[in-house]
Amino acid sequence: MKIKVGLPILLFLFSIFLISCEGDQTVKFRFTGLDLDHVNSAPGLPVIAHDSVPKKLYGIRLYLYPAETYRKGRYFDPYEAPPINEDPITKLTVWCDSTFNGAAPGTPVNNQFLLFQGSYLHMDTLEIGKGIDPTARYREDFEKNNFPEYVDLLLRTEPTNGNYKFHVEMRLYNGAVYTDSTTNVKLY
Amino acid sequence: MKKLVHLFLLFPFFCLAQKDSSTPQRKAIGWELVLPFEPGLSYYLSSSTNEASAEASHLLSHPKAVGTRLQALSAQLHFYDRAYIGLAYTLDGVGFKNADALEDLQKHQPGYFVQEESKYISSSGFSYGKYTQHYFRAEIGLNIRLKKFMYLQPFVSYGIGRGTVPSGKYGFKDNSSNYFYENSYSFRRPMVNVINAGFNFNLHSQDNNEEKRYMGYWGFRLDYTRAVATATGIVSSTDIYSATANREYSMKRTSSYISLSVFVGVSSYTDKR
Repeated sequence: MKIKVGLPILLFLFSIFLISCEGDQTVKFRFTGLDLDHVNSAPGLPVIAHDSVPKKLYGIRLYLYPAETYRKGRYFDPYEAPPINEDPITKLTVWCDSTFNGAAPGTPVNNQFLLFQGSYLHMDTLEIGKGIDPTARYREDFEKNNFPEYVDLLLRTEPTNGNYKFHVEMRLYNGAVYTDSTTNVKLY
Repeated sequence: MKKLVHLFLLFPFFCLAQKDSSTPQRKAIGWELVLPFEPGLSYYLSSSTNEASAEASHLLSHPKAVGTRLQALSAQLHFYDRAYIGLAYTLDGVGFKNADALEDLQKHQPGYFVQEESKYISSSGFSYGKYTQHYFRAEIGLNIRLKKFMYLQPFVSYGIGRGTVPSGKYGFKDNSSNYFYENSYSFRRPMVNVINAGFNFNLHSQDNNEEKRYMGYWGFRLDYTRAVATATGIVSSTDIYSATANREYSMKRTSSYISLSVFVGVSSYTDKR
């Protein structure tokens, strides 16, 4: 009698165990805005800077305002099921409103920056006319904060000392365009 | 430290002096086979690398390292009443936290911000924080009977084998500019030489048969090991401008540690009074 009762219970528990083994979340998001700020990379990981930054350490922070659009599943798997960007960035353009390292005012200066997403082991170039694919997977808190709140563009060249103002335009797959400008910054 | 080592080495002789001389002795050839596996723990007394491998020493040693021992097989052949020779295959491992290795590397690179690979990149192919060495060891020792079924076996041994050294990838960002580079460290498998001394303590199952005996036994082993590993390694560097460079260097790692392990086995010998 004990076996007759026990067997279904065991099978039930085993089924629960098997079901609990799978269930990766499908997570989707999209970017909903753009704001710019200056950063200084002196501490290693870039930090917000104000109106004066050593040119060798300068960078631009792009706040992207990711918004979750879909989440289904039991748990977030950072390895096998990273978040999917529903509207990828198809084009990112950076320009300066004054001559910058030989680039005329208003012309793209993308190639003078590198894309930093939390890891110096995964730096990307910023090509003119192309988009970027921001991710939060190189950051320590990826499991808690699944979406890239921001990315940094680190300057890889040394402009002449002076005051500069940068502009960034971000085009998304769905046609949305976001544009913002930095405040004037003194690079020395 | 020296006092501790002296006490450790003299302990078997102290036990020998304490033993009851009236207890029976083994008088014939016998054997002992330690069953797989013999788990144990190691405490690392010291670990150092030569100057040439200082660049990658963070991957090789750390003061907070904790070791493990897995002696897969050990067989002993016993002669006459006291001496024995043995062969053993041993696997020693050292494990330490990635964060400790990073801290160690950061300390040696004060002008740079050092970053390790993201923990969410599972296919990096690097093995941080794990050093293993496996070797065959020839052992010679004494059988000291403390009681009728209780033995102490002081021994010395020498072993040769191979090691498996961690590999790793780290990013280095200059504190005074946006310049950065990444280093990938890898090593060819090192040759390992091991000198080992210690003692086994065995407690055999009791048997009233006075002739040929097959007995089970259990025991523990406490020993001191000094291991020297030599190998060559490669550091591959890539910097902000995609310039790459490979550097090759030699490595010599010397480590000393005390291990405690437990084992069970079977033995066979003829006991004559």
